[in-house]
Amino acid sequence: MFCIVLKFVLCLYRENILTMTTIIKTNDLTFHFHGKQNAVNELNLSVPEGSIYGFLGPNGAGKSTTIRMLAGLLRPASGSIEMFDKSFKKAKSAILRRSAYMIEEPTLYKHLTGRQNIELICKSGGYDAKRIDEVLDWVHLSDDKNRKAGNYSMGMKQRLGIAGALLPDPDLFVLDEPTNGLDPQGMYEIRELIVDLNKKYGKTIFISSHLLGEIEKMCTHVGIIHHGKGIFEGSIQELADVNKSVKLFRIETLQMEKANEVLSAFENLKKVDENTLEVQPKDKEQQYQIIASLVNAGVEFTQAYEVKNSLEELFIQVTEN
Amino acid sequence: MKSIKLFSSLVAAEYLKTRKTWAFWLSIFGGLIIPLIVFLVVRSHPEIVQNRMNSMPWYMFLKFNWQSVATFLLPLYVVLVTSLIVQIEHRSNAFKKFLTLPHPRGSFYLAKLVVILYYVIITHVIFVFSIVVFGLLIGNIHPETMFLEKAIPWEMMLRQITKSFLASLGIVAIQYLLSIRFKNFIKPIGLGFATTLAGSVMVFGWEYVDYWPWALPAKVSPGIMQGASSQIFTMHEWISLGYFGLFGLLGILYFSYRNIK
Repeated sequence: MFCIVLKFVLCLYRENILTMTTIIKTNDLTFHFHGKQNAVNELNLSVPEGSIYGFLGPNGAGKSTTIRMLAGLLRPASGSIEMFDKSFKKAKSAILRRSAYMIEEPTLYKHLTGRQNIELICKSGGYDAKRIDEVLDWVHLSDDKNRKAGNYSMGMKQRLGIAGALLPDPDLFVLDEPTNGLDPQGMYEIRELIVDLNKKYGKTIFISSHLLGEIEKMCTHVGIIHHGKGIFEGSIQELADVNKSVKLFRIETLQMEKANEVLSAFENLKKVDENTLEVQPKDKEQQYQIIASLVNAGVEFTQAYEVKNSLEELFIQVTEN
Repeated sequence: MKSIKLFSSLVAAEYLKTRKTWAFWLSIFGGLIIPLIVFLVVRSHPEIVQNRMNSMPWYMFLKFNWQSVATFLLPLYVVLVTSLIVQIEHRSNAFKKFLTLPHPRGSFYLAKLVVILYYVIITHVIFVFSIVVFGLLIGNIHPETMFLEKAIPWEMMLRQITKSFLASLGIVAIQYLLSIRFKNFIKPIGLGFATTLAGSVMVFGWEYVDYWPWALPAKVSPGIMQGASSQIFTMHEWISLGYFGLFGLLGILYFSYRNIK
């Protein structure tokens, strides 16, 4: 009995339900560039502690703008940010001390060596110089640390950027498109680093991307943003559940109008093309009803099939509307 | 105490960024080049530093050197070195990284300002030392110029570079602000070039030239023959310091409150 309770508690613990502290919380965060419409519109994020939070959206959705506000580079037009349970406005430097950022392309002085680049951040931040070689080792750049950073490959540059973020040993990493422009090998390396940081050291990681596949592979939580608006937030499991619930059912028919009439009783009826209709049945029972009513009405249909909605499709679907 | 230590490590980091960049080499060769040219001229025409009535080779040599740099080259050097140092940050996408470090933004502004001033000072010092070296060289080649016999006017030269440095401060603060503001470094350099050129024309008789920051180095330097107007702080130095204070403050405020895209 005790064992079962313990297991249950452990399970809750893993799911972050008992220990759910929010590291980043935004309230109606809004930003607009001068004279333009809102780049970020009343966004509410909450990033739980110990999560890898994937911040997902197509290009130009407002991801970078949001991250720049989280870094204090842009001032929100309205709304507020809380990090580590403190108001960002009031406790900015205390918050920055516990977080590290890598925003878009890494900051890189091309005329200096990789090590000197890290040394700079170390000096500027007032961090322990002993960590320089440690973090370079961490991102597998020890062998290349004395080469000029300008000659690094894209992946090495990105890893150097991550090394810079690792220096202060922060509790939170905010990474903006860290795998952008990398080849699959480079992406894999970065992903390994990120997952390691999370699993081994319990760091919270907030990572933005426009690639759903990337997010799917490593994240525990997902937030989707589109046109500056938040449209979904939840654990990766919840996203998968949403995915299941919007199962699509398509009917290919020769008598479009008649079929349309018969099926008008069902929810979310949609014409896909000239002879295909789409409905969203709640369950198998309803799926049967659809077919039955078509047969009863004598509608000539050639195919009735389920569309398996992958996350990719869901993402496109969600961002289309 | 801790904050002083932190600030000095910030300055060290800022200095490290500029090492072996254009700004670095410009500062070294900028101080060498004019004394070298004047040296070559005087070597072939030693009579120009000889005064029949009163032999003052060092003063004449100093005068030629200062005249060559003060109206145009020195302000232009300040414009260039300021823009080049700030350009390193723009080119490396660096503001967004360094401004997420847990320090007040103003401290980064000041640390970089210290480095810019350091380079301006270095150029002045190299300038003076190369004048001395080349002067002694001429003395060896042409003993009749009396460079070796006459005492080197260290004190006057020190006073002169102090005045020149102070007169450059206004330009530094204005160009620094412009370079931060414009990512494209052609803009601050072009503007500084135009205003310097305008200043070099103005010295010939515009009545308000005393208030034109880019003309101030030209206004303090010609005093060389009059014993370098023995005072260090004259009207022009104060005006330059005024500009420095005003634009330095504006710069810190702008830097601290601007949005970084």
